[in-house]
Amino acid sequence: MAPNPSRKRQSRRGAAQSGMSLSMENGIHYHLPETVSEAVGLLARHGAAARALAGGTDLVPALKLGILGARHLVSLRRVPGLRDIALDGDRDVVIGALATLRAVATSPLVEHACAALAEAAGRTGSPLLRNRGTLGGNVCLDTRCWYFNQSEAWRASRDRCQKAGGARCHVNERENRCVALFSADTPAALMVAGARVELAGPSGMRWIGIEALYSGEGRAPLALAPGEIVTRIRIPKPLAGWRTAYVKHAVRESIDFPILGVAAGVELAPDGTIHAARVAVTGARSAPVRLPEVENAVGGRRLADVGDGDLARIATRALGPLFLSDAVPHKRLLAGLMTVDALARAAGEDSGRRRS
Amino acid sequence: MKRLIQLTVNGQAHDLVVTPVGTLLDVLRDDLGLTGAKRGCDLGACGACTVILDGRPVNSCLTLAVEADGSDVATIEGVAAPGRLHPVQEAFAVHGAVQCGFCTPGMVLVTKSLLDECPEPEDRQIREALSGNLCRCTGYVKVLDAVRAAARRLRAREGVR
Amino acid sequence: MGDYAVVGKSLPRVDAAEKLTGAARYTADVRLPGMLRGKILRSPLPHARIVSIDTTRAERLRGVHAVIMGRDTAGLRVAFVDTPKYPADEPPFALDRVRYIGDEVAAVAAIDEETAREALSLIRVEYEPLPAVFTAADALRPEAPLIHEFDYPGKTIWEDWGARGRPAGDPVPRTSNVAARTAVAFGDVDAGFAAASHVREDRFETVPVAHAPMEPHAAVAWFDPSGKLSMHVSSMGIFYKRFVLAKALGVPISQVRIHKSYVGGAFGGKIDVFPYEVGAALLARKSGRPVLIELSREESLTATRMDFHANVRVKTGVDRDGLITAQDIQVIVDTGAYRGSGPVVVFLCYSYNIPVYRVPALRYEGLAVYTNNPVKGPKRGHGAPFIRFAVDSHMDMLAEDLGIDMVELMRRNARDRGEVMPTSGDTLRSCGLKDALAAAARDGQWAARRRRTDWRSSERYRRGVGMSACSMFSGSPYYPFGSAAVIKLHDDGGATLFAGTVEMGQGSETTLSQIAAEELGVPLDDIRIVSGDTELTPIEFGSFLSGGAFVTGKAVRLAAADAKRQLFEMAARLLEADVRDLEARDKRISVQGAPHRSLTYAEIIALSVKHASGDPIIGKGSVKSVPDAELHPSLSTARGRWTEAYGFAAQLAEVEVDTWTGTVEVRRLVTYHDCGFPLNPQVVEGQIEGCVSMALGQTLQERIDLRQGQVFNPDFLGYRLPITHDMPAMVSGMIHSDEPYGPFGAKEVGEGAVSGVMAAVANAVYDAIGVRITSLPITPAKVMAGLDRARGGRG
Repeated sequence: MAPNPSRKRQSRRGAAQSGMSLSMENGIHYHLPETVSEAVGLLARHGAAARALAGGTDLVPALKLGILGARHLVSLRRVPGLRDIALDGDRDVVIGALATLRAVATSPLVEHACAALAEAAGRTGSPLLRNRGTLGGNVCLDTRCWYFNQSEAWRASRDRCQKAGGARCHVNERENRCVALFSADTPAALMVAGARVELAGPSGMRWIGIEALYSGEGRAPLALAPGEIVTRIRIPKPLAGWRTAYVKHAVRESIDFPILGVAAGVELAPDGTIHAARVAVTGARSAPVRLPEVENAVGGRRLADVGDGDLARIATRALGPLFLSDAVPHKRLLAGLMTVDALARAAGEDSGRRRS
Repeated sequence: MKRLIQLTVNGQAHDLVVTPVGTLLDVLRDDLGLTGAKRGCDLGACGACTVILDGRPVNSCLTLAVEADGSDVATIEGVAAPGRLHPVQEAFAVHGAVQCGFCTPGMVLVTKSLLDECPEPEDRQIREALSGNLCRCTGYVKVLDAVRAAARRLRAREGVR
Repeated sequence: MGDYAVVGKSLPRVDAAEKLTGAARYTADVRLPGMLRGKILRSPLPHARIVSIDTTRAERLRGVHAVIMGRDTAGLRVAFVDTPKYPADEPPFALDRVRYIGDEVAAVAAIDEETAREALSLIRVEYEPLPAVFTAADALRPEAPLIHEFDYPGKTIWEDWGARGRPAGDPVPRTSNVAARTAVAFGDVDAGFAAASHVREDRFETVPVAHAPMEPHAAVAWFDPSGKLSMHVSSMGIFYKRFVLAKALGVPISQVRIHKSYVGGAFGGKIDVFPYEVGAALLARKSGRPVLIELSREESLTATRMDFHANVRVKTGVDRDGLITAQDIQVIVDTGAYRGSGPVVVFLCYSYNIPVYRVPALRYEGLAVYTNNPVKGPKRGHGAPFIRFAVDSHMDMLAEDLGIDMVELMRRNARDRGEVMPTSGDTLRSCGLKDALAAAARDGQWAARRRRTDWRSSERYRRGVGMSACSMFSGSPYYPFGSAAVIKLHDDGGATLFAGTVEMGQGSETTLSQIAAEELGVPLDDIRIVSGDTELTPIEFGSFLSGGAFVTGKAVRLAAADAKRQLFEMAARLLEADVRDLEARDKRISVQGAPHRSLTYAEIIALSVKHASGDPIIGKGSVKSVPDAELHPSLSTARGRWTEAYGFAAQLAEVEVDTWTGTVEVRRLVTYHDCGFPLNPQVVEGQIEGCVSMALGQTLQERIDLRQGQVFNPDFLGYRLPITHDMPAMVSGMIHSDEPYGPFGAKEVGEGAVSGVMAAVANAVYDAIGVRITSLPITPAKVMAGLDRARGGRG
């Protein structure tokens, strides 16, 4: 039974169950810059009230639910060159932030440079969403929460949560700290690839490692300076013997965000020895995370010599304590097993730990 | 602040005045009277609003109309020739792939787009192509039958030419 | 079985072309001049007193044409059940109290969606929160707050149809949150248990799931200058909607017209008359303009109807051979803030279950309990999915206890043709249950796979098979108790069929047209159907309680036979022959043995108009759903006739469990459905496949995530319908049992195959990994916890 509510009278303003929320709809401005500097200038000028608009597959739902928190939409679609996927000389693959997930998933250049990225992009959302959604958008995906990604009317049943600008976290009540989950597929693969992202801002361009893009904060997951946007993503040319894989666990094979996604990359000697490895997990925390302990544990050994059980335990331990929901209380265990699966696939067992 | 956009829908050019937050689905249904694209979930998770935008099937409920300015849009209303169903539509009818019909326009457009690009899809590709289009009536069994049959029919037609 | 030309054939649907070209019009596609958009303001609190509502600012907003709230519907209560015992309890708009998150408080009509939304934001409501309860168990505690303090007896909508009313008087104070109770006992239960060689008792739980038709609920309403109300609605039976709407709005039935709309799926969720429909009509009346209310997916999922939360306890005694000696079943459902279909579901959990196994002695109790959760209603199977999940999971456990093969145990207890149902007196005139069981076991390779490990693939992935069975009515005595149909023959020999059916995906326009064509002896192309309009068609039962094809199909056949009789009589007159000497072939009637003495249908019809006072030949037919029944059966005692025929199904599931992730994959689902006779095999298969898909969703992944009365997954990202990748290999077979009372031997097909899947999968999971899951859905978390327990770990 619910605790006896205070008999305090509450006055409520009405709100529609979904559709564009009012605060958003009235007086929203749409900008269509033609250059990066123009776009960045607009974003800088309007500060927190502005958002860059790429494919819109995540932004438009946020707009409809009234959780975007912006009045200026700065569309990037006229900015030239942001859709390209190209080789930089004969080395790195450079992907424009507005390349669709479909383009990334089906690009032979991407497949060659990082199969895990092609796989992660190809498992993001549904085919319809991938035709609009972009790599830049997925990399900059906002964190998600049951209490946040809801309509204005839904959220009217309780106080605003921290992510929506309120004082409380309804999930992590004990610590009262936002633990909204980062659920994009591609960043885990990009981490494994050692990708770098190009940021354009009011003070010019800079390149950072993909890991530095994430703050780890549920409330504001991106470590971007005001006015900055991601414009390009660079995948370094893979070393000989470097192989990657992405394993996604979701309720359904399409549409859904991952419950967990694990990307793995291994530098494999012909005899199966792993010279070096990278493993990254998405869906577990407010940012995608590397698992260096696992990477160290398999380095210099063959996968079979480590043993599935030990490897899974190392991965689970490396992930550390998680904020767990009732729906997936076994998420840590799952992360361990999926790490085994991802490494096995990367190391050339096409089916991972599935029977052939 | 309203904007003027131009859309080519099923081959016909339209000048339209839209709000920044109006979606392509809103414009099709309310301004152009093309109600074949359906509002099923309004958040991009059901595919009932599918249209072909510049050659690719997309969720029109997540596409801002301003972002579609200058684009070419194909909707279900433009698929059949006058008095003659498209082979994909024909296959859906013959194979019992239509029940309540609410998801049907989206399913047909995705199928047509798939077969235009890939005339001999494997089963896995068919399932994947349609995996963003929900159907509550058919359990997809007869939809998949229809897609396979449409592929055969279209290939046969190509062969004749 | 006859040799038919049109029925029994997989002919393409008559509505396919319209639906494939985007031309088919659904309610939200209706566009009328001056049409306003309506929006509803709903309660954000699960239980509260309304202190005040201030709509003045909303009314003043430019573009707003009407605002309504509780006082506009004061005194009015509408409900799925409205009987003297269970008087209607749901005010369309809250009066002084809201009882769940989503309860309707006010509605506005404005020139467009944006203005309507803005108007909602200008309405101020002051609430005083009240204590709330969210489970049936909590609601049954003596100290629980009363969710309804009074019943409001009075004239019920059923009175015109013979229900004895209680005189309208003062509200009757309520003392508990029990919304309805069904109690049944027959045979000597205690002696049955005493005589049993083995008794076990188990408990099961199911959580609410959504109908989730692809079309969200919508309504369009307008009044013509004479004061007549016209509506387009998302419905499953237009005459039921018209009846309840007319009563609710206090207008004569003939002053309400439902116009045709295609319905984008319903599955039970569009039978009720909803507050938004009453609201659309009232807003149209107040504004003098047409009003469209299109619910959002969130509203459709949270504030219309959903399936029940149910707790089922089953205790069974069996003898050494596994024959049931006695059974004791208790079902407790959380029916939500209003009664919804609670009184019906606790009745149906008994009556959909009892046709499967022979039970000599039974004690049954069903309780529907009010809570501050959303309201529950009928969903495909209406109780059968959870009672069958419970009973056949329990049977599987009994089979293991006894060391008897599950299919053999089912077969020994399964009912046969000719048996009479306790408390109703219904006779199983046809029953293909055992045939269905045998066929499903054969196609699913039961003998080769059950309790065997040699076909399982690896340490990580384990496979198993499970079986279950179920039964379903074919129509029931419920308003309007029957169907009629009219067939009008045209000059050219073609015909138009007028039938009130609503095409919501089930294929009724097609199968009814096939019946008419077969009986008339014309090809399907010659039939045009007019449906879904209360003004243009005679009364119709509705497509619920699985009565569509069975009841209305029979009326159509009678109408066609009537038209044909008139054709023959006219031909006899024109050919100067005895009607008994005539025969029909290829739309031509001739004198037997004298083929030159013949006339085409077209000639006969034309001559009939010319010579017989302009008689164009119109056939008429009608039938009651259950001819012997005066009124609906008693919901509290289950006495009275229920139905004329029962459909049966047996279902086998083959699963593979990933012991690493806990994911259950159904690889193969075999269904054999005793549908009597398939009027259109392709349509029947489509119904079975749809049932299986929906049932698999409920079994594995679907669940309305309710926490403290709020739905946490009110969209299709969080409420996960099955997708293409989720579908197993399906075998959807039909058993022809030739129901003597059905049209061409047909009976129920649209619901039965939804109810055997849950236990079949749960039993298969047990077969695969030895983990018994007793609550739905069978999630990875439960499987992992079960595996952990089985390994002796923490659990």
